[in-house]
Amino acid sequence: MVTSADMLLDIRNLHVQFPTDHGVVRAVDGVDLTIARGRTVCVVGESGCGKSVTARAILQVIDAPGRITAGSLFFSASPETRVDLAALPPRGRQLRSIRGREIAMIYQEPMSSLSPLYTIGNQISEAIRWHSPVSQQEARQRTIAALDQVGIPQPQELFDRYPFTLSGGMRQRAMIAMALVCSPKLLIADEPTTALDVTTQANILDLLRKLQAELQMSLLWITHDLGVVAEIAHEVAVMYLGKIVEQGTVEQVLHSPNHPYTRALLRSIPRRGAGRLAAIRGNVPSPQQRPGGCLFHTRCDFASAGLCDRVEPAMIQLEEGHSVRCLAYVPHSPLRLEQPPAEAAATDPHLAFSDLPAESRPVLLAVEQLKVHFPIQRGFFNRTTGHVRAVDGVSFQIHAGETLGLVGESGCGKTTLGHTLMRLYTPTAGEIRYYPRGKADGDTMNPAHLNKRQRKQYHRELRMIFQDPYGSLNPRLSILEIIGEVLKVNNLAQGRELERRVRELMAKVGLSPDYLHRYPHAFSGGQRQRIGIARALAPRPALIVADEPVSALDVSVQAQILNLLKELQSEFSLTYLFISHDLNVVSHISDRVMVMYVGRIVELAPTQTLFQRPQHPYTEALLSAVLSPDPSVRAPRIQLEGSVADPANPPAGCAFHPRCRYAQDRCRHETPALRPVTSVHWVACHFAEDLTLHPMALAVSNLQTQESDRP
Amino acid sequence: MVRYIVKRLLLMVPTLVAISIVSFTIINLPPGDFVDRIVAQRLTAGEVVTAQEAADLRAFYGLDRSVGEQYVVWVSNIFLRGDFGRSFRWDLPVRDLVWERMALTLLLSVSSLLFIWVVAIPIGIFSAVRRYSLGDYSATFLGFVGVSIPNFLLALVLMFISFRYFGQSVGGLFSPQYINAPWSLAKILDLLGHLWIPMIVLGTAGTASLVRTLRANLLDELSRPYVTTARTKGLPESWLIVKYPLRHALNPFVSDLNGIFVDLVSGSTIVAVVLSLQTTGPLLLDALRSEDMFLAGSFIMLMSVLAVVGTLFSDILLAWLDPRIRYR
Repeated sequence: MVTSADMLLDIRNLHVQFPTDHGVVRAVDGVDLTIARGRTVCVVGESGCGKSVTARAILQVIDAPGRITAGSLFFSASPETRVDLAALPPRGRQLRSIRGREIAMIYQEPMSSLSPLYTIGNQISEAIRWHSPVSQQEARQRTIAALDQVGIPQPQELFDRYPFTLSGGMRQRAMIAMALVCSPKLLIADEPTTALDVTTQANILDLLRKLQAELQMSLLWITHDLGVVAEIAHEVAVMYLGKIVEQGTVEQVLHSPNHPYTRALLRSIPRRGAGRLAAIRGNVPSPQQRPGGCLFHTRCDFASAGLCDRVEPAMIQLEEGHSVRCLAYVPHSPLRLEQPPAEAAATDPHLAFSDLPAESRPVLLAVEQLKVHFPIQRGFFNRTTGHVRAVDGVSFQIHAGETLGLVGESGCGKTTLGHTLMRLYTPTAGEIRYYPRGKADGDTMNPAHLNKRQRKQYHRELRMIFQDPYGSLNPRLSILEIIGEVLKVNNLAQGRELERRVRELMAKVGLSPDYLHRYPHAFSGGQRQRIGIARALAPRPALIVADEPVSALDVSVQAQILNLLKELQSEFSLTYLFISHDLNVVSHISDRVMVMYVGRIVELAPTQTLFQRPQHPYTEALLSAVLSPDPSVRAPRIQLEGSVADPANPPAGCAFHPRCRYAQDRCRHETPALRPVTSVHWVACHFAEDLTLHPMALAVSNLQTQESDRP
Repeated sequence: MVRYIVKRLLLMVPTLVAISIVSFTIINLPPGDFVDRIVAQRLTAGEVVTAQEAADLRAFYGLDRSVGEQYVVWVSNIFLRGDFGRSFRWDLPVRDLVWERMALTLLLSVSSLLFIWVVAIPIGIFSAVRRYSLGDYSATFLGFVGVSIPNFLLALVLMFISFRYFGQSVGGLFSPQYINAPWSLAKILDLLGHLWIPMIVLGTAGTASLVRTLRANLLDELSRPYVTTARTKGLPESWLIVKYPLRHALNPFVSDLNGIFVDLVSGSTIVAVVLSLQTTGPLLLDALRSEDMFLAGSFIMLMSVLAVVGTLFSDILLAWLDPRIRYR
């Protein structure tokens, strides 16, 4: 048990409210949380649950018009002192002297959290100079030391650089250096790795864990990713609609989750081999429509009418340090949290083609030696001084009815490849051959040379789903117009028939057809993504290129969308090219997976093979960076330093060699070709057969069985 | 940075050549020329002008040559000797007519600009930071009033006030005794005493619209993550607002700066007429009406130069303000 002397921050009954035109939003509604010295506390939950607001309330930097309406935040910089941060004026001197010096904060967006107008050094050393009377020279020295500490190479040089000249990972390191430069007692991290690649995320997590031990610092970590929680947390608090619903040590909460929400979050993590994911119904309700009784009852599988919608549960302690806010744990409760029978029986419904191995089905799309280069123009007359080789000689086939996953770090060319297949970019060289459905193999379409009629057909049969559910729907068009547009321009349907078809599509993707005449702003992120899917589905396509379709969504909504994609695939015999940086998602949905690095394919194999027996060191590194939501699997990770090589100037030989821990002399001179190591497994590495690489540490599938069905 | 400026200076050359051609073409476009006007005037005065006399006049003014030739002569004189030609109407070298007025105009423009900045920036910041407060509403109200009052009306009101309550001579930039006097300390003081009315008149609309723009820009920036970052570093509020969001918010305004320059030179004609200021606006208007082509052409030319230089100035300022532009 934590004694009061060890307590760094003691949050008691914190309430934060936002008065709006539509009533008061209770963003944080009575949160109790303690952070002990040197410990890491994670707060998890979906977006809109009040995690970030809680974090911001500690330093009173909540966005207007939000304010702390009740509660206290006792902060003890040393065991003898204790100050209530909530009672201090937000702009006063005392709180200012705590901000940045005693408690520091890092944010999700390293891109926008640093001002592009000042150098990194300026923005970091300023924090020192406001808090201690040091000379400019000394501040510079300390800044450089901090940059060095967070593992930035050549910190002296970086001091004078502007944030926009750095990669995302470097920027986040600079942010961390800025937070740590005054050696704070508490570091609040608000989703600091969410915007980063998995490999960079793994590096940042390792770094923070190391620094925490060195500096004896406490961490309050806000995240929606249970993998991150399992990786770094000592204690966990699960939040839902402004309240903590389950709290305990990381082992207690992740190994024996007790609240239905925690369980549902864990079950909705996509993983290999799982059939249908157990998604949580619906969305987080908007703060204006907080349900009465138990906040979660509207989405809970176990909710009992007349009980859960009436009685508001209190926090109930189950064992030392582990408590939960659920009526099922009240003594003599009639409520039982048993697995719903449908869950156990759920199997993979997508079977139509799946009986055949992917590689023996007919080819739908063949890509050969595809290159997409973009000219770099510089100087007075915009001379072309080089080329960005975004896609640089890629060959593969997509078979009818399969899902081909495409993974790689950002900047590796995945999106360019997807867009080129859609003819959004013109290939510089190489061929794309599309074999229309129901036609003989000889009759192909090459999207590079299509007449107007053929191009229309091509764009009917190949469709795209985009990443950003907000930016990809025109806000001025109704849902009917958005989904129906493609049918209209292709003269597939008009008038009443069009409306009927759109209603049908909306029902197929799980939207109420009553919303036909609504506009996109009325929908949540997940619903918008369903609209995007219906739009892609409208002209009965054969192939859908899905570019990160779930990465902007919360984990529970992500599971809903992944389930939907699988159902639609079996119903309409769809083929997917599924682009994602999230290997959990890809392993869940794909039949085969293709790994890209600097414009080339480095490995291509059936999912099972790729995840269990990777043969390219890059794949191994990617797999090693995947976080498992099981705290007992904190495997040592492969540090993949630096970022993806510059596609305008790729290294000689194997493009991966500067980051490869197995690189040998040959790799520096000779570019490895993509070659088959078995009939279905292709690798571009000279030493594929000689290396023994590690598979993904996988403990996710064990988790469900460990869930104790307590009451 | 130096490279950038040199590049921009080089780019100015073709721009200016194009401008000179266009301005010369424009003044030659209307039918008839200065001689036609003289002939018409003499006819109305009852005199008879023979074709020979008219032709002689044309030869005297150089109007008998082809347009291309006239252009070359005009431009080469400007370029080689700083000679902008002769005003037909005033019978004086354009240079003598224009320079003093240009200088006064520039003085007036710059002082109005400073007035705008000094007044508008603090009010804009206040309005944004204390959004929906009484002060913000007052600033908004006054802003709209400032934008909607016609300049000349404001000029008349201020003239009345200064005459009635301060006993100041009204109109012009100098008191009568100094108009043709040589420059002296007393004349400069007199100028400054007269400058404030046109400065306020010309600055009011600009101030009002800048307050609105700055408020809107700043409101966008105030909720950016880098502002919260600065706040969590423990920076005092006033310091961080000036250092971070204000500098971002000034960006669109600085890129607009050249427009303000041109506007202040050519857009203030009505005010200048009302206040009888010896600035360029009225003279240009007059030159255009009397088809005094060298005077008008030189004016258009000089204004264009001012616009181009103003653009360069604002771009350099912008590059200083925002390093991302330097790195492109």
